[in-house]
Amino acid sequence: MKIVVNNQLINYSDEGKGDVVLLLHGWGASLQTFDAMTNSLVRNYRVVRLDFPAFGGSPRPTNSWSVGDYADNIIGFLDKIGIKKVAVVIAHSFGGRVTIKLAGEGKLKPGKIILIDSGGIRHSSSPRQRAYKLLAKTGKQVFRIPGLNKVGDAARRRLYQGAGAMDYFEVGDEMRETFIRIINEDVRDIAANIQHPTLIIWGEDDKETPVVDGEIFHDKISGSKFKIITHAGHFAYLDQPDEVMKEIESFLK
Amino acid sequence: MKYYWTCYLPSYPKVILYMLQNSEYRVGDFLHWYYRTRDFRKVMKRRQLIWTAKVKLLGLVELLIILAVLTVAWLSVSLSIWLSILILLLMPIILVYAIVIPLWAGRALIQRPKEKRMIAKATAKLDKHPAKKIAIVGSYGKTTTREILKTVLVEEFKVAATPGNMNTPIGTSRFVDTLDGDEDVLLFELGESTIGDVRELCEIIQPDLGIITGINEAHLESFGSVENTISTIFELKDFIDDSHIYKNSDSRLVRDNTIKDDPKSYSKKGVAGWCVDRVDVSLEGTKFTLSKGKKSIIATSKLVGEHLVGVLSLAAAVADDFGLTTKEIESGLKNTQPFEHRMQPYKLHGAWIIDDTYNGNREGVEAAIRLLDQLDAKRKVYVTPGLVEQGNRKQEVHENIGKLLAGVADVVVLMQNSTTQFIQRGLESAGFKGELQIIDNPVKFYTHLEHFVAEGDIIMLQNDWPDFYE
Amino acid sequence: MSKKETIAVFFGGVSPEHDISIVTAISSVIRPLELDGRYQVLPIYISKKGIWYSDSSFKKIETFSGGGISELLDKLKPVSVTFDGGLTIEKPGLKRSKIKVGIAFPAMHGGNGEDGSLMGLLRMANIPFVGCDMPASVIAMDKLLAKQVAEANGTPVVKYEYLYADAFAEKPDKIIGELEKSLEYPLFVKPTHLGSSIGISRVSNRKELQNGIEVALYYDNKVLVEEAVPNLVEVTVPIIGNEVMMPALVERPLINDNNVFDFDTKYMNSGKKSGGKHGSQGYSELPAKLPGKLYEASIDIARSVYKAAECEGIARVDLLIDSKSNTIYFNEINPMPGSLYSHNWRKSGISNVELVAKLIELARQRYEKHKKLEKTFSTNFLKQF
Repeated sequence: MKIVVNNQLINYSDEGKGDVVLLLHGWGASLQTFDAMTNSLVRNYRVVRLDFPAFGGSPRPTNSWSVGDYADNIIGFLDKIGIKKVAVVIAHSFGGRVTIKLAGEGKLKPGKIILIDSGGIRHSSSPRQRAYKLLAKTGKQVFRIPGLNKVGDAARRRLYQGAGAMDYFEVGDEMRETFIRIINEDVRDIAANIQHPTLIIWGEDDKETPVVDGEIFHDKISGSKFKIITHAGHFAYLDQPDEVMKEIESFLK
Repeated sequence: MKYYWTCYLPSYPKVILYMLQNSEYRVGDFLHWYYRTRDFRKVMKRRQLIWTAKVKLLGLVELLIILAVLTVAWLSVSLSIWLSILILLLMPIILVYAIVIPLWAGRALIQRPKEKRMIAKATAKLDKHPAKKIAIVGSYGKTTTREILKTVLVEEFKVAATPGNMNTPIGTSRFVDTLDGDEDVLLFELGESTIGDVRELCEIIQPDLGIITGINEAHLESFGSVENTISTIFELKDFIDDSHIYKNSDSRLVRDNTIKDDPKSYSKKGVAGWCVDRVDVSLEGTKFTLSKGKKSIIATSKLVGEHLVGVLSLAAAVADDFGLTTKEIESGLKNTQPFEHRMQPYKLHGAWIIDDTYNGNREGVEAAIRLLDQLDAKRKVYVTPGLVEQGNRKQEVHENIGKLLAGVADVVVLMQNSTTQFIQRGLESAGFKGELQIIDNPVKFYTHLEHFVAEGDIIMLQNDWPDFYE
Repeated sequence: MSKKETIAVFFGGVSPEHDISIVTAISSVIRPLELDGRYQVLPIYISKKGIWYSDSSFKKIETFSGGGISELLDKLKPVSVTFDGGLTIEKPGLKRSKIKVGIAFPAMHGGNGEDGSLMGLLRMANIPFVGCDMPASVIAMDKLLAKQVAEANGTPVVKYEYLYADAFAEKPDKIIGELEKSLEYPLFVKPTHLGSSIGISRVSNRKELQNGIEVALYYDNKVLVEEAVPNLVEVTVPIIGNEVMMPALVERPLINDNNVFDFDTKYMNSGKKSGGKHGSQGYSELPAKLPGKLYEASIDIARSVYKAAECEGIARVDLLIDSKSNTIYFNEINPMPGSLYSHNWRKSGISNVELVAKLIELARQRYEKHKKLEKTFSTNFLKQF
């Protein structure tokens, strides 16, 4: 489904009944990477997912955006579809960065927060290097999603393109600028303001956002729980879906 | 000469290996092919070179030959520059002959004696073997006959048959080597391409029963004349009493060389007292009844085509002779299936494709056209590259195919080659009103068949044509 | 080498249906044309940025599906087009080649191609081209205009209203109020110019209607709002022909998750992997099982709209049927159906190769007919200056 939020078209999906669970994907991914997770959650919750602008079915913004712009867009979106209370936010990577911004600055007050391999810690290596690395990795990961590896080449390609992974250097200067702005923004201090019960899930072998980042967040967010998933990389929820789901379910009980 | 330069392409040694492999290392065939080839870029079209150990070894030999020739050419510069140039000019041909030598030597010194020992061993083993031995001889239809007989006879007996095309003395000996010794029936397919071939095989096999499946002009080049083919096939009579040889009288050349009312002749009308009745042919299979005195057999087979009624009847008659019950025979016939690439029907996008690509003889073509005629379809398409090895009858045979097709097919698809003009002429002379398509890239056509078909079509794919003959 | 006539196949384009167009062009046009063997096929690919390229590698789907297309395009130089009383494509590069186009085969979907713009260009070039001419393409690609043409032709259409971006920006509440007064929920909101289902929403209340209009306006300046058909059976009828029409089978596509007609996208997703049975099984009922006279009636209505909109060559007419009242409504026309709907034609007894051959024949017929109408005008008008 699509909706327009402040002149920005947003592709989203809204399934199930009950308390609202909001799923926020990572850079270069799309709401479809949460298909399996949604299938489990939708039995007990109203699961709302969206494609961040520039990814999946949401076109890219006309100017360069900061993490704050993305955060504001989420607020606008929730308002537009009439959601007043979000029970849980589950966010991966870039989505985590946005969530920390939302919750840490008090723009959104979710009941619980689950961060999976969250972004938000700035490292010293050059942004350019990290950009290459992250994009190469995310691009590959997207096609490990069950079901997606079966779809036709053409459709896969389209998704690939939509995901922005392939066309990073084709997306135009605004998106490149957006990317640089975003990875340069360190949110660890904002994370320290988060008071909501928080579960931090991390893939042991995560190379894009190493486990150290998780430890920093765990340290900054008071009362947070920290779970390391073995045999999982940056996409812990795709690498070990059952394991991650178990952690989520027990945290939400 | 225009294409002589293609001998100097880097791919040339590989092309030579490819030609060797695809002529099964038969020196004569290889050289024949080599001398017919003009443009060496166009040889490796249909298949890939498979890098077997043998090919790798020969590749190495090639490399050594080339190095040797180049060295000689270089050394001779001091003698005469013209000599060097001559050597370089002849290099492609030197390569071809030099590569043949190790092949030939290996054959004469190692392979031949080994083969003789194997044949002697097989002859001795068969001599003691208690099974009924059936020899299947003919220019065409052997494999079909063998398979149908086997399918029916296994209802009651332990049956072994020469697999695939292991129909040479050495192939047969290899097959005999694998036998357990307690088989009830042995089916031998006899390959023949020159005078004496059947005799040589019969000396090994010592058959009890013979079947002549048909005679035509196949292998005319190696036989020299049809008369030679006939006499070679009838060499069978020197080993089996004529009353134990079944003969397919649907084949004109067999009929002409058989006495009238030979009790062992078989055809679509029946065999050995069995009468065929109520024949029903469709793409789902073939049905008919066989009756002899009080006995009656309802024959149903998945095999497609009226031309198979004769051989199905033959199988029933042989089985009856061997003591199988009517029930067993009926059940055996029911198990007969189309063979791969021989009148094998399948559905593609709502169209019926009849894959008859392994069938490359006149009788098969006539049977296929007759079948196409008998079937109902919105559009009947006939696809063929023509037939090979028709010798000086090439023109006549292909014009006749054209004439037969004219009244049957709606679309005729021909693969461009030397026979195309004759089929085309035949079509024209018989007033063909349908559509004629001439394809210059057969591989492309076959691999994209789905683009040519639509619901309600029947498409007969007749005789695929290996590049060996091109 | 014998000189074969060149057919230029145009595909890609600045349209959301860019990728579908690639599939249509390569699998349903270029491949059959090459198999036909009578023509030289010149693929002309229009990139997402609107740049025209031509390269023989464009004849293979792998060029586009394997990634690396942007690198290839970086290396290639765009083609240039000369209107020399015909159409000549010049490929730059070491061996500059000028290729005179004999016939054009537009295989484009969506705006800037299927909408008549390319057809206008080809008319100016004065060469025969396959498919609907400019006026029919313009009508077909405007859902509202197509409905109005059908209505004027006496063909039933569902109750509809339309609105423009400017007016809506000014007084959204007033417009929504009017829509609610004249139409009954559930409604469909559609951008008028887009192909496939992009930007279409099904809405059941005021809030959804507002959101749906906003989404549609994101894509287009003109929005169509229409009532949903109860007891809906959707069918589509592909037709080829100029004056003499030849319909294929009536096909009933299955409805996607969003309850929106989205058949072309279905094709994309189903891919060709399913043993070559794509489309004909699992994604549609072919031929559609319609009770009584509905089957024949659907064909009659499709033919009548095809004619009214002056379609030529090929088009697909989509219809909506109320299966209780047995009313058939015209929905829309697709002047260049995805993959030419070759699966349906094949089922109707026309193979891919025959289909493109027929389309080319139709293109020639139309061209010849137009040529007969051409007259030269000589006036003395300029002499007075």
